[in-house]
Amino acid sequence: MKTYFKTVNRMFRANWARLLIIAVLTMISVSIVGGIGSLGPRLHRINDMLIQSGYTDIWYHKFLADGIERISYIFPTFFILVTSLVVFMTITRLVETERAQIGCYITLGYTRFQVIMKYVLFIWVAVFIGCVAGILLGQFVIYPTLFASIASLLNLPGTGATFPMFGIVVALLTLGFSIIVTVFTVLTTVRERPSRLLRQKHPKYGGKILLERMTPLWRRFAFKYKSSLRNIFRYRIRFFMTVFSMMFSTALVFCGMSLSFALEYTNPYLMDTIRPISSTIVLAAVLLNAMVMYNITNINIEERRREIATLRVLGYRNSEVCGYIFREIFMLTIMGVIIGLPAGYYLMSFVFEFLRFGGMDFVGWYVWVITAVLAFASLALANLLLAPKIHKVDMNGSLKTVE
Amino acid sequence: MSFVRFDNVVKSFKAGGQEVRALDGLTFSIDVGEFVVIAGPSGAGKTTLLNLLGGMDTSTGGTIHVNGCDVHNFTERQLTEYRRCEVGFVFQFYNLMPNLTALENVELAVEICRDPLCPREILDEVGLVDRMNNFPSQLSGGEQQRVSIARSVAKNSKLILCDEPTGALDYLTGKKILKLLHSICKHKGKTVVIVTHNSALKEMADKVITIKNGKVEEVTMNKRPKPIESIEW
Ligand SMILES: Nc1ncnc2c1ncn2[C@@H]1O[C@H](COP(=O)(O)OP(=O)(O)O)[C@@H](O)[C@H]1O
Ligand SMILES: [Mg+2]
Repeated sequence: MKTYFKTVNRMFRANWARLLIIAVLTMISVSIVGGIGSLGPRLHRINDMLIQSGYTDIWYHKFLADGIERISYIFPTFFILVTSLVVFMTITRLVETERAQIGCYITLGYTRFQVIMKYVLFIWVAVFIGCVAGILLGQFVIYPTLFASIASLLNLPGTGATFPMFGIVVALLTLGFSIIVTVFTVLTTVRERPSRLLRQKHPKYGGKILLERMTPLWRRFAFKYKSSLRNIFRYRIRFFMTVFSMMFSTALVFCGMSLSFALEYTNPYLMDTIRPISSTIVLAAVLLNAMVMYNITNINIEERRREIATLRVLGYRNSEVCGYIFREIFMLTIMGVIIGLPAGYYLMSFVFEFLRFGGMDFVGWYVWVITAVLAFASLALANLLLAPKIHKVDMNGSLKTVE
Repeated sequence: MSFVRFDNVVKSFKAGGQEVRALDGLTFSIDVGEFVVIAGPSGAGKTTLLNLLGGMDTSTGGTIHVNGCDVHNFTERQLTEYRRCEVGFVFQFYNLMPNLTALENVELAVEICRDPLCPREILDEVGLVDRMNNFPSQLSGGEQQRVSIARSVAKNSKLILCDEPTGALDYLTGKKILKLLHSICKHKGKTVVIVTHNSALKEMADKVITIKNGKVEEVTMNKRPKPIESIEW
């Protein structure tokens, strides 16, 4: 048991960056979801109070409360979806890199349950920290700020005090969902025969991709692009997960932006009240997008330490090694954004229908441009922050061991 | 003036709060075109020595001269340029890029060199003419090591450093790899340094440097090195 805790401890220490990313992502999602989610019910209650005390001209309050409530149903779904996707991706790739280790533990007599628990614990801690921080942030920062601005606009009576029911429910759902995802991911690996786990990490690593069969086209690619393209298309599941998470988070930015811009064309009353909410959504979506980029870059670097070390031994300069890693992420981002923008467009046309105000007619071309620019800016920032991590890869430590 | 000269080189590591002296005042020299075996038991400091010589790490004390350069004074950036142009590395575990073919792996190294040799020709010379378009996962250990050797030769640097190049190979394959390295040394005029804990290999070297506890225990010159075929272990 003592060694078991040691291995758990070691995993936490080796992967604290991934843990932090998941925690922050969850925090962003839960805080925004909880903060906005508390608004709708609260406004309804105030509305009822006003009716009881004999107000007449309040139809508009009800309409507003309904609108805000709908926003708080639809956007959270997307945020939680992206968060779960990132959890799924992180755990899949963590398990993938630790395949041999898992095989080793099983041969040593650790039960499958123990192995699974190790990863469940990891995800649980990450998501739990994020949930608690998110509920607190939503309850004490986001909700009061939004409520204060709405209350002053509408001249509402009463304080904003409320129980963060919505945030707690969403946090529990996220927690449950993440753990289920983790159990299933680890289970598929644990079920494999230990001998197979030990034998080879990447059974299909090294091979031609479909693109290469188009020889004339392939020949035109510069040498370094070939290697990036192979890396990208080698693992289908990994590829789809990466592009999906980029696509979703980009689509979310697009939706937030569309909401903001469409508001400008609605009733000024509605516009002024919902503007702070839409700004909050945009901010959170952009942050989420940046976190996704950071996460993907980070995982890529961690998985490719050996290749990075090899390049450095060959005398590749820091900028050239970074290029090798970043080129690949850049291509993935291009794909994610190209799919994410139209995906955002279609998503948002449904959202507008659901919200019963606004519409895609009010969404100009600049929303497309701004979203794309923001996505690439996030990517650039993530790469800038992670470049030192590449420079720090230790040539000796990374090359002296067997795969 | 020797091609490589180590003078009183010290390298210490801090491991778990205490200092480990991996190299403890090492002095030796190597001439151009020599086939050198660095032998010694595990933990003697051979890998540490090779890392310093190859510009993969910096020394704690002493001086290292290679081809007229003061390697011990190099900055991180200068070391990168040094690895780029002056040395070729061959590792125990090959360290090829898994997503590149044999040919592309050699091209990868050559792409950034000033005056490289033709990757195809070199792969032909190491006996891989038919396997150029295979990925490392499709090659045997011996073949992968050949690619790795081709990679270091194609860079056209004067110095080739090999850390336990046969450590992961079977007896016969290992012998073939050593023969290849030897012929590269003799026919291409490269200075080849091989690190091994197998003391039988001493007999094939022009010069043997025996390391023990971070110090040079003995330097011997073989007047008549034995061909690898006639050495058994
Ligand atoms: N990065 C390091 N940190 C701490 N100690 C090290 C490190 N590298 C090597 N050593 C120590 O230095 C000594 C020599 O190691 P090494 O050069 O790898 O020996 P050899 O290659 O001859 O087997 C050993 O005692 C080893 O534990
Ligand atoms: Mg060694």
